[in-house]
Amino acid sequence: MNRYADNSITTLQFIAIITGTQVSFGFIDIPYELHEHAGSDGWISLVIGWLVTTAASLVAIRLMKGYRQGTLLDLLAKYGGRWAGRAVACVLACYFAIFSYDGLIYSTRVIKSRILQETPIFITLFLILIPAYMVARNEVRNIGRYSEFALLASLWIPFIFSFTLRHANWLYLLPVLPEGWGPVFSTVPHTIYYFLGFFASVFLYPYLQKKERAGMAIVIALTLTLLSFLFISIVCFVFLSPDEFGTIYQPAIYLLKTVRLPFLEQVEGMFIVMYLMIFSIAWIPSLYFFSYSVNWTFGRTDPRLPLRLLIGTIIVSSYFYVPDYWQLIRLNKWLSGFGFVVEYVLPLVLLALLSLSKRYRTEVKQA
Amino acid sequence: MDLLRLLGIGRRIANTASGFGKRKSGYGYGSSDCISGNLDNDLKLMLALFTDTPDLNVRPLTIRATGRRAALVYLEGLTDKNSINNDILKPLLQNVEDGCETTSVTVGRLNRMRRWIDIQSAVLQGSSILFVDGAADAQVHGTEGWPQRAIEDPQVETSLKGAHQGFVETLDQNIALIRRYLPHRNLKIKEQRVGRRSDTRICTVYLDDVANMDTLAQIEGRIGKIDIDVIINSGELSELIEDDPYSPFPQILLTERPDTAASQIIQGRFVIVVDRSPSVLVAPVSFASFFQSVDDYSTRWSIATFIRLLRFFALLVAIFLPAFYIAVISFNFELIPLRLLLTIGEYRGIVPISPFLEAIFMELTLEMMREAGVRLPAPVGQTVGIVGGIVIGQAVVQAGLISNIMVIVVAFTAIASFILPNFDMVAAVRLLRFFMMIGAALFGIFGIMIGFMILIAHLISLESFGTPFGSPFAPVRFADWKDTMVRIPLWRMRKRPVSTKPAELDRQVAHRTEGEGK
Repeated sequence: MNRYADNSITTLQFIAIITGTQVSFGFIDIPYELHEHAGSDGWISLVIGWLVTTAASLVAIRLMKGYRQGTLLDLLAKYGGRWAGRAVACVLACYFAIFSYDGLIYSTRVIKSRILQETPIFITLFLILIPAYMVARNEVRNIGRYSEFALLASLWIPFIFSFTLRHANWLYLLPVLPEGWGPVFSTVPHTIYYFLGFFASVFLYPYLQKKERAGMAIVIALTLTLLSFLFISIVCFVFLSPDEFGTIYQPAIYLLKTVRLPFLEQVEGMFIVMYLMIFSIAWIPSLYFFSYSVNWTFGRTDPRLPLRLLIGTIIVSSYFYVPDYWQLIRLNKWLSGFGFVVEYVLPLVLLALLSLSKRYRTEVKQA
Repeated sequence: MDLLRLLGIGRRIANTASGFGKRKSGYGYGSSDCISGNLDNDLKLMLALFTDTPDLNVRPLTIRATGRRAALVYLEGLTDKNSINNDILKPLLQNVEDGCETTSVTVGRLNRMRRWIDIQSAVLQGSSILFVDGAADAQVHGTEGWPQRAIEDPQVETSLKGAHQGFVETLDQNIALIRRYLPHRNLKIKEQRVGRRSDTRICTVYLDDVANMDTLAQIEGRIGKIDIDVIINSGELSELIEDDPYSPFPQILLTERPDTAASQIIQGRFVIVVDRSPSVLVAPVSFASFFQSVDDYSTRWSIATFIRLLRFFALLVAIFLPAFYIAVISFNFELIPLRLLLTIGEYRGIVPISPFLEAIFMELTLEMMREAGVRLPAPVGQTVGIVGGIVIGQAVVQAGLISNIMVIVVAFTAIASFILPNFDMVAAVRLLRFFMMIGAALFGIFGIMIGFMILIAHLISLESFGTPFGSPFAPVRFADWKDTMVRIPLWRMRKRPVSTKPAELDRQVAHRTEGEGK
């Protein structure tokens, strides 16, 4: 109990962690992804995806309301026994390890292809993992501080992108729904991957200073995510013609090629480097949650050892093998499914089980 | 009395004063550790304690009023001669009417002491001791008068509109200087003594209805844990009690200005005054505290805001500019506009060494010149400017060893670091600059970004006595932004900074309405 009180985070930090985790590489990828499946109507799928995610996140918060003193794992241990907790902890540890690995490899690939072409990937990985380790070893409080700083330090991004709007052609957004609602709905599952990360709330909940605001906070966080995705998607949709979309990879970065500041020639290079801070929120919290889950399984508290093991494994393995672009996409697809099960389905199932068990207990008491 | 006993006491007292091997075990006072009341014996023991101490003055006398034998003992240089001659010796030797020797002495502070250990330390602190034959305790008179300088303008933290009194080397005077600003009975002082040989007085000054008591407990606890022989300077104390001694950043603010100290106290912070040191410590502070200056509050708020922003800009320049130059020249030349690149190339073309070496060479020269400027005596100091300006600046460019642009970068960096108001923070920035340069030389702009992220990761994990060092930026405390990057009008600063967790948050009652003055 004390452990959570000493490390409490503010509502803003809570929002920053969740929004940061979701936005990070989605921001660069989502316009392409949406356009590929739903054309210029992709933004509608995004809004639907947001609605679904909001519902799922509220389920997660509802689940946590039943047990204010601990994380999801503590809750499971209380109602389902220590081993139920351990089983879920193992699943979650795997999930977060893969999640952070995916994020790390994705960002390293972006950096390698745009900035450091010559440097071996394991060195780049090593470098970006130094600050990650420094933040993640220091518990939730520092992750919150780091995330909110990164979020505030990135407020310039919309302004930079608004420079591209002078090339905008708003007619590209029309016609709305040329092929009916079919493609829009079929795209919704693809947006799920970019909303993954709100599940952090089940770990962050006990650290929250004002728990009664958790529901509001998570809605704000998801709305922020939606707004930034909507912003970048629409900017890309009105900038690139529907035919161009197929040929351009990572349109968000491509867009910046048209921006030229008097003191800065190549804005997109600078953008990727400075965006690293947002990228890092994708893996820093999940690295921590990984080590938390592992520690919880073994009843330890110091997050450093599992962190070192995981980070060491990632760096060493990257010396021998790094997934290429297509493998990464396959990994994303797979992670999207895994994430759907963990983040959307699991809380629902647990909530159902929990209310059943509560009802059962009261019945037993009454009888 | 026998010599054996005398030696025994002497050794025991000597042990308590210094012996680290015996860890305070010598403090077991028995009756034999007190003075005997026999003047001859006591004087003999006194002299045995202070062997080879030619400045110890023992003045035997006979008190005229009572006719008893007595002796006044004091250390020559540490006491005020006037006070001893006129206020102690004169009444004792001349007054007839009084029957008691204490009433005739006209010194403000008078204590009675019995234990040798107390007497010994009182003598060493500048008191004079009067042993009276047959009296069971000695009279200790406050006659301190050691050499000290007058109160002067602060040397390091100069200010345009602030007060012209700086702290001096005497603790009581320093506290008096603070009290002049805050004549309030809630201004409390906790005194502690540290240092086995120096026995340094350390006072923590605070407002007890404003400051956070948990922080006070932490400060007192950390000072109390110190077990060291001597504390010479407040900088040493700060290193002994700060949170993260491995960090390049100062976590305790040192100031030599009483007005700064007072304004920090009123914000809910603690000021730690160390005897014999002309600068006091302020804790807990945050990163932003190092960018505030006392002048900010006496200039117009719009000007002050501009200067604040200028300082944060200067901080970025001082840390990142040389690194950015290296990155742009040797790695990411696509980042800067072509025409600028051509201009740089024109001057860089003839330079035979790599940008990194060029930058390191010039930065090291700058650092050496700066250090020389601090250490050199003033008359010789001017030569540094001449050598630096003409020989290094001009000749090195003409010889084609360093490019013009590099000299501009270094000069810009130097000026940027000069406008940061706190010397310790500048020192940290100077050090960080080199790490950023190495990062830039190895990985270009990416290396700088990694350096920046490490810096942020470090700053957010720092704490200063239980309060976050990165506040109000991370954790974000919007309420405190009124006095960090900007300085809003004083009448709008109704609350104290939240980051110090003050017990009383409100500072003033609004006396101006929103539209007034428009």
